[in-house]
Amino acid sequence: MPEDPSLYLIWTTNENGTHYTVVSADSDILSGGENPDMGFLTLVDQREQLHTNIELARDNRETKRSNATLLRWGTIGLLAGGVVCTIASGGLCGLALIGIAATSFFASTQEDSDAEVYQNSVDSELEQLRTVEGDLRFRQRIAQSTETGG
Amino acid sequence: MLILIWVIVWNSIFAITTGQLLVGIVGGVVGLALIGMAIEGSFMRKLEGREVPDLALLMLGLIILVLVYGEIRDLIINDLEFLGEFYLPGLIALIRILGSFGLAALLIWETFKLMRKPLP
Repeated sequence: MPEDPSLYLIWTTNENGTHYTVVSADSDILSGGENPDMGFLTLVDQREQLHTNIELARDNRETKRSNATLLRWGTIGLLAGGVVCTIASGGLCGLALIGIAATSFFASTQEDSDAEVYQNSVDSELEQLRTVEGDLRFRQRIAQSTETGG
Repeated sequence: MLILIWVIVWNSIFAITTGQLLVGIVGGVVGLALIGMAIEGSFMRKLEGREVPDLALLMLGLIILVLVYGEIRDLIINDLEFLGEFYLPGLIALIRILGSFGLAALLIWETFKLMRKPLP
């Protein structure tokens, strides 16, 4: 806290609102004591990192989704061209266009697969985020029972 | 044609909201071309009354399959809410996906009509 550097104000938010607790700077709540990975400050850093990773994975997923959609519409456009060409000329141009459309379609399925890989990353990191946020609330409940809380 | 324009326009908006400017512009241009074709109408009139070969029917079937398969895959990973906040690109994608299903239904209807058409 600016007026007293020996104190920290920590808070967590849940469906009941935001809960504040004042802890001393050398508190095990902040450092984690014998388990530094469970320190409040470490958990806050982990939460920030997970947020960044999730947003990055989501952006990558959306890029892959857009590419897949574009390639699929390319496939549909080629097939529609094939329909018109077959009706108009009755020739083999339709078969040639089916071949080209197949290439575009398989490229779109690759982009779809990549998008699903990014989606798996998003799901996995969202799960980690829930765990970290649960740990943060747990640390704060301990703080409230041992320090000055509100 | 109107449903096709609807789908392409929303696809274009989705691409722009997710930062895919080039994809959005390409979609927009295709949408405008289709609007032009719909207004002009002579292209569609040229196709009317012609016999439809089996190969063309097969390709219409493939279009339906690609459309439905792709939109189902897209729907599976679509989000309307993300990190506790409303996600606008997800809503835009959902509107486009619903339009695509409408388009697929229309294509199925038209394909069956063409299949049942008696030979001249």
